[in-house]
Amino acid sequence: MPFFTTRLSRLLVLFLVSIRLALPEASAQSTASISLFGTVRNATTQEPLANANVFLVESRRGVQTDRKGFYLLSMRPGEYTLKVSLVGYQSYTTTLDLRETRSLNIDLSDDVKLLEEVTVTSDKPEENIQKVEIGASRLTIRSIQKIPAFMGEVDVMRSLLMLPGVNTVGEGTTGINVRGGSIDQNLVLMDEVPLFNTSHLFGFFSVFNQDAVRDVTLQRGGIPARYGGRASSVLDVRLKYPNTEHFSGSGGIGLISSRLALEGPLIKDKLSVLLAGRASFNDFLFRLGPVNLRGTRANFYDVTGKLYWKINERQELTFSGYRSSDSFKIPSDSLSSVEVNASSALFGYQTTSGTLRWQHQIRENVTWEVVGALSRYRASTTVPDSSNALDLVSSVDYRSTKVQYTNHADDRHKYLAGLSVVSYGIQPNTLTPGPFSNVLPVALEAENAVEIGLYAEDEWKLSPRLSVIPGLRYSHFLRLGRARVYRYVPNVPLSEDVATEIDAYEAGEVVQAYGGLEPRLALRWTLDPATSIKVGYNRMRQYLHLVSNTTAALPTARWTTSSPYVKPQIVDQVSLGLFRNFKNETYETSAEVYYKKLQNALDYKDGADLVLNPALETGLLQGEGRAYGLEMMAKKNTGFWTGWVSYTYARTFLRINGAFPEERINSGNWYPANHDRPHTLNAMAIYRPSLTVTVAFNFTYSSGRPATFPYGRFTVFEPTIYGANVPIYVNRNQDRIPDYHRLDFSITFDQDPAKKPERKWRSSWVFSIYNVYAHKNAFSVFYSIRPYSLEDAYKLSIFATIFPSLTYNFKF
Amino acid sequence: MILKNKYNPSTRRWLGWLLMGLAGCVTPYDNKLDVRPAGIVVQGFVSNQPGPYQIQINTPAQYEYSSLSFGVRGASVYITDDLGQREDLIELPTPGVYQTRNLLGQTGRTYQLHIVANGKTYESKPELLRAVSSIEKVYSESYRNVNPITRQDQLGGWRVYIDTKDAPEQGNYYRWNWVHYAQTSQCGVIMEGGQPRYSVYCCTDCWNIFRCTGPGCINVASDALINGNILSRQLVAEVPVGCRDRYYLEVEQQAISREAYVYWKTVKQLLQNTGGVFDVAPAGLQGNLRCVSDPSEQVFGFFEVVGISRVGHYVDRTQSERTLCPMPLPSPSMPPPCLPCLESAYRTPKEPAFWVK
Repeated sequence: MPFFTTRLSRLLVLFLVSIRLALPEASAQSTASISLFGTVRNATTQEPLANANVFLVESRRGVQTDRKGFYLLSMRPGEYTLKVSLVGYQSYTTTLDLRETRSLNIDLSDDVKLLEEVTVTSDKPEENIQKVEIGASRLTIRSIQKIPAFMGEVDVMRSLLMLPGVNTVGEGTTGINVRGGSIDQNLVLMDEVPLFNTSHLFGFFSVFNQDAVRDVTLQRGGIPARYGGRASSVLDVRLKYPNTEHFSGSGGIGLISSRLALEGPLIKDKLSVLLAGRASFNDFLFRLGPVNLRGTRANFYDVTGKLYWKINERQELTFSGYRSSDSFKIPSDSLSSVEVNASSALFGYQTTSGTLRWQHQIRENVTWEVVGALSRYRASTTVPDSSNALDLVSSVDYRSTKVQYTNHADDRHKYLAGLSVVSYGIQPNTLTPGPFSNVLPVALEAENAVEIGLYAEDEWKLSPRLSVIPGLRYSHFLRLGRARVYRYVPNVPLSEDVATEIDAYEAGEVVQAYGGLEPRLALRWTLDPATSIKVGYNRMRQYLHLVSNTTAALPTARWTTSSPYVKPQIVDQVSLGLFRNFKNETYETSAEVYYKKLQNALDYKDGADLVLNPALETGLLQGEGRAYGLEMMAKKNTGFWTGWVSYTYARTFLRINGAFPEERINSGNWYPANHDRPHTLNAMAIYRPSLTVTVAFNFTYSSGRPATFPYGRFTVFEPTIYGANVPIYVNRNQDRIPDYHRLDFSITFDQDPAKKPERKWRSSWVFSIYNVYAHKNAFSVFYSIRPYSLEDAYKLSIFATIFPSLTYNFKF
Repeated sequence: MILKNKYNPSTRRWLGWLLMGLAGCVTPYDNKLDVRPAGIVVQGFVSNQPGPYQIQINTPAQYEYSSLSFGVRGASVYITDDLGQREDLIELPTPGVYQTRNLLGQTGRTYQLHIVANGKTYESKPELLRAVSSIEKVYSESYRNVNPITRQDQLGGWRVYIDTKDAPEQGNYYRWNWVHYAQTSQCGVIMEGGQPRYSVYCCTDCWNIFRCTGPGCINVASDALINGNILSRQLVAEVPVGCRDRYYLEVEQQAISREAYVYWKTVKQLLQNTGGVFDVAPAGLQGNLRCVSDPSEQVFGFFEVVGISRVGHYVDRTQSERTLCPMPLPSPSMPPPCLPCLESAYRTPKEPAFWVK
């Protein structure tokens, strides 16, 4: 390991030097001018404000602040008028006499006047035209809170489903599918640490607490070089910065969970802390349910914390910690009906993670950032009865270190380079029998691996109209010992019974190495102030895979790293987009097309055992995939009515064409992936007639997902199950379940801020209805011939009825 | 093993049900499947136990409940072995069923099924008759459960387990099954006013035959986790609470091929599918037959060659704390008439192999 790091850091330095050498004109120019830099913050909370416009009126030059609120402008010495604006805040204008490079921090106050005019602006209108990235959507927690929520739980993951290009296999399932990618192809980061499970209660609710999240960015095309490791998308969830000025709190009481968040300074302007907790108290719901569910217990909690230490004007240290836990107890009567010989079973899964981030601005335009992150995901299944007692435990340990260098060389270049080293320790599944148990113990071998990423990118303004972000990432993956790798008889399909030998590797020995370059590109060409065209390309390599052959992955599904037999998944994506705003940015429209090619897509052999298989490769198949689509969106940003409509046409196909018939799916032909839903229409409308009332509607429609319907059936000619009708399935995913559509509604009552402005306690009521017209949407269609029924096809609906809920939120 | 065999699918199924129970529902879905399935379905087996063995050849039915499948008549069916011996099967009156004459499977031999039907030639892969290890021990244990109505703890029944020694090489696959024989003295009933009124004695000894039915009876396992060791406490049967008697059952252990193991496991999954969130997507059954004359034609079903060993066991229910024993019907007046015990799938006059008088 140390060997690699030193070599790589040398490479990094070389790389950076070569970039500087390759761009001599940029360096030459920067010497002639001076710079102004600083941070734009919210005046009351001192939270950094991203995407604020910082504009020099005289030179007609402007920049937007980055996610840390930082801006940097260069100019020739002189007198300037500086204008800083951001929607929802009062703009700030000042005159500056700039003779030398200096810093200026700007505090913006909330725009109360704006509220009085009852103008609601959902997002930065010109952002979509100006930013270079394509396929990136940013949602602030404020806009997420406006989307009507299922059971009143504001849900970060579910809100993403309203964006074009994002869908899921069905309601109540964990994870999202972005532009045809599987759920493990999304890199979900919470303050730079990846999460391995994003849902509570097996997929009903997402793990992010609305009181702690600041914003969410989903990158689905033209992904920057600083992100790597997953093939399809990056979901970057940033936590709030704790308020450094005064103490405040917020919280809510809901049907499913209740929450409380506190934040404030420990040392004013120096050290502040945020602590947000959420817990469910919904057991009573099961007691109201049918008899066989009354013994069920389902609970979750999560705690999010953030500590912010402003060491000095140029240095800051933040620590983010997160803990989430779910437990699920299934009672005996339900189990006995399905022949599990246990009085109950307990499922649990926990995420524990922490990020330590140190940022040092060594010069006005140079920042170093060091991030260390730890994440541990553990899932367990426990059966307590003595004769069958067992514990099935799996875990993923993630450790990473990242060093990143950012250089705002001048207002034409912003360089960024970094090195990240990630180590994975996966304990696939360990079965430990209880003391008097008859179950045999199983310990699958732990997997150890290291992934190194070296990256650089440059946000380069070629001209006022043309900007590019070329980026390059090199990733290197090492599967390390201790490991036992099976060797198989050549030229026959892989299966447990053709394993011939086991190659044993010592701890630290390299079992398999993979690596390669991942070029990235984003380009923006502005045709006029309201129109731009963007192009994106990215290659992504993924070395960590979630292995599950169920329709929706269980939280206990197995993670595995690439091995001599499981090759990394590689995605190439090109996308092209047209962005245009109308009527002084009241309307925002966009259209994007993409084409994606996937190598080494994973699928499974029919009937493969994946849970306790020591030779996992015998159950897996790899092939190719392709996805393409068109995403269109129209958005209205201001007025009493705001909202958006998006339409997506997207297709995803896979082809598994192995050397042997057993290693082919659908005889080696292309077939639609499980989440291939060609048409999706989403509409979201928010009406705010007064300061105290907000009404929101949300409609979604999408084509049914592919399914495999029986081709015929035959009657078993065998004494044991004589007469049973076995369906014959021939080709996967050749049919579709019915289309999906749903309307949600919510109404929020806020207190009028104009009345009693001195009162600190502010509260609001949210009444929401999920599935307003109680449509029985199909999760699946399945076939089973039941003796007591003349029907043979059934539709399973999960949220088959109308779900009203009421939530009380407060702030102080 | 338990986990691998049944725990996980059931849990998934349970979770699927839970989600439905929370809010969901299952409604009939009208989806006319208009495909007229082509191909044939071949089922049957050869074992080391005395025959005759039967092979059934059918056309697959459309999926709808009302649709029928038909037996394929007039086929020429024969089985060859690796010594080049050939046995032709006779067509039985039941459509599509063919029966061997004097074939007896030998451990270590390889058998292959050949069919010529409708002008096409079909054949199976050559299948080895595997040596089956004997069941070393059968034992039963009572278990308790909770009465769903009174919420009282009570005797739930008995579980029958076996121990067997796995062969040292990797890749052994097992299937278990049981048959229960209950000796009966009644071979018929006399009806009066539509109700059974009197029972009629059997003229000879007679046993009623009960088999495990339903997809839960497909009980298969691989030796992947225990290779070469004693496979212990394999659950093979559950005996319900009944009369205070000795409950006789025969437990059968089969040595099957890997393909057969996957086949039965898939059949079980297909029969238990509830369409739930955590169900495995329906999978095609991989058979071991193909159409030689038209490789594009699909052949469904499986020709199995199995090694079978059997052992008898009595579950002692004489001391059970509760019973569920139907009152016998009275016999008509003397002298009692009698009915013969007719051999069928459900009754036999032959004493079971391990019966102890």
